[in-house]
Amino acid sequence: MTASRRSPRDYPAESRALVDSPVRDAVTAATLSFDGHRRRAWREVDVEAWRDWAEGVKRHALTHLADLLEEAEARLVERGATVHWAESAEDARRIVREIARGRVERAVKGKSMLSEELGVNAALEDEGIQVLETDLGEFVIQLLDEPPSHIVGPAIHRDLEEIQGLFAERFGTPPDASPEALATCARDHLRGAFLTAELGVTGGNFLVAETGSVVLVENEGNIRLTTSRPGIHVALVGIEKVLPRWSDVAGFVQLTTRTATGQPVANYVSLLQGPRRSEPDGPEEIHVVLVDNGRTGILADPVMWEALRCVRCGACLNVCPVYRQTGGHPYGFAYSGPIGAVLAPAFLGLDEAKELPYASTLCGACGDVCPVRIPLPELLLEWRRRAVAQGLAPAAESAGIRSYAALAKRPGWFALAARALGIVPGLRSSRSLPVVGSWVRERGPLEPSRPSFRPPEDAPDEVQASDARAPDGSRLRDASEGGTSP
Amino acid sequence: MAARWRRVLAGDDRPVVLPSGSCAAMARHGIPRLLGAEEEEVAGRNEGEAEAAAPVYELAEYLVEVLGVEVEGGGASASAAGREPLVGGLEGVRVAYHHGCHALRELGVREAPLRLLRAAGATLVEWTAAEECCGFGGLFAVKLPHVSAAMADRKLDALAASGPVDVLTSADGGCLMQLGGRASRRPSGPTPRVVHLATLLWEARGKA
Repeated sequence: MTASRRSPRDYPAESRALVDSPVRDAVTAATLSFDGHRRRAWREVDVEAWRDWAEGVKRHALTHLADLLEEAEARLVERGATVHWAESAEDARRIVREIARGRVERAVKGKSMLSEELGVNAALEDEGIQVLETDLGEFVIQLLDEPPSHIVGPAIHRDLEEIQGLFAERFGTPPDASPEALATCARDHLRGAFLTAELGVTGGNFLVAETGSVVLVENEGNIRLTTSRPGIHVALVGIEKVLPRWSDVAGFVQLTTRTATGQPVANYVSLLQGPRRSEPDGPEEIHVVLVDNGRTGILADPVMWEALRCVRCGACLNVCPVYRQTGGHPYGFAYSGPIGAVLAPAFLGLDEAKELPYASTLCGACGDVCPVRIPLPELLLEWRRRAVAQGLAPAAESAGIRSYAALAKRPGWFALAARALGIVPGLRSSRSLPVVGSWVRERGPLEPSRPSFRPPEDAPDEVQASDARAPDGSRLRDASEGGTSP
Repeated sequence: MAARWRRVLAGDDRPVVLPSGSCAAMARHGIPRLLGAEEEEVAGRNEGEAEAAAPVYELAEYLVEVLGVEVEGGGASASAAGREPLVGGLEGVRVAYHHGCHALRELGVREAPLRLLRAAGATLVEWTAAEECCGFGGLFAVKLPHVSAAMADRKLDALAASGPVDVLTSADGGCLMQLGGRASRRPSGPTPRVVHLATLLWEARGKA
């Protein structure tokens, strides 16, 4: 997997390449569809009350995280699960390898963004274990050896035609196979693996402290199968996924599914509550790996800790006008879109990820749809403030902004500069000057308005209504002066 | 710049009206927040925002909610203020309104510009991407020009797909530069006239 060579530093170049590709249309269609479903599903409930409640529960959970994690561990152990604590990605990979070593030839996986973040697949493959992704979207990107492009739909950047071509090449399906035929082909391919794999790996949507339950939601049934047949199960759960009470589950599952795909509830909701006892199915061993990998560091950040409320619904990606032009690959990180742009600097450091907070127009659409009210636009802006304060913004950019501020505070100089822009030949239409060139190449020459909206320099500070001019130079008249036209 | 704003307007409680959603959002929220943060640093006070000075309005918001100009017959407040009501002038003109992000999401200004256009008799064109960001984003437009252009293209494609349009208008100059500029670079098709809401309404008033 090429995942480890990706970096947010490549966002400008990668995004430039993708805006002219089929990815743009495929991602736009998929995200508009998801968002349309979310809108309908949100209208059916008192969603603002749900969001307030969910935000409150998560704030409480994060504020009491250590206690809740210990409670979760105690309940899990009581039920017969083995709990592991992974401080780093390397720890997590080592833990999973040690669980599997010598006993596993084949592993089946439910979709887990955390496993992508940690690089778990590669770790298992290094042990000579065959890893099969069983979620259809993950199955597709595994065949393509690509990272996921979206948090919920990993393969939305590929359109039907591309997937038809892929399956025809790998499995001999007809080139015009329907989506149902493609799904059936994948199903047939995977069914044997479910029955013979020694290890099942999933993530965890939520971990309930009160009962030690790992909650998993899905639509395809692959998680049901992954957690039923293999004798060993590993659930990778980020520590921020903890919910305090059993009674929190219903609300969070419904809010997450309504927001992610517009479904009142996912097709399957599975609860891992320990290894099988007298049941005919279920793993004999359950391992829950509680993963930190930088989360406690984020928790300690008085501003960024709010991003840990994320339930990985993907709604912010679905409304982001920037994300939909390229899909997730240019972000160079497991998580993309607005939440990815906020988490990447938190996980990777601002120097490595500084391009991402600027991969936004701060339009605010993401903050409007977050089910747990993460103030994403404010967090993006805060990363920018920190980048400037730490001297990470490009020197030319900072100098340019300081120059602009110097002009803007001095009306005489500003007027001079504005006039220069209008007079100096080539300044407004240059395709090669910095800043102006970037504008002109995509949008044509800058055209100043005539007459200017600015009052003349010798105008008194207080402009009387009778002095004001209309765009055509005519005087504005008060209604009291009579007449209806200037 | 925020400090200068406060200095220039000190002691003046007249409303400040800005023909720009992004500038109005900055003046109403951004500047107090900057000044409040600065005061917090200097004086150790825990203030989220500095004390508000004069009220700040975006132009359409002011015309509709304060002056009441769009109501047929002017409304009591418009007549009392000696202002003329806005009636007619854009009959038969197919107008698409672009909702700039700051006006829409930061100021909550959504209906006011539409009400003004309806009062002027314009035919408002419904288009699917009307509330999506145009891709200007200030620095974004020149830092990531290709993504910015792709965002403008999405809006303009959606507009072209909605049927014939005579005028594309908005309350934000940046958005209009972005959309108008990009429209002039696109290879094909007729493009609507791109003009600021204030100019459009002024022209309507001239013809009424």
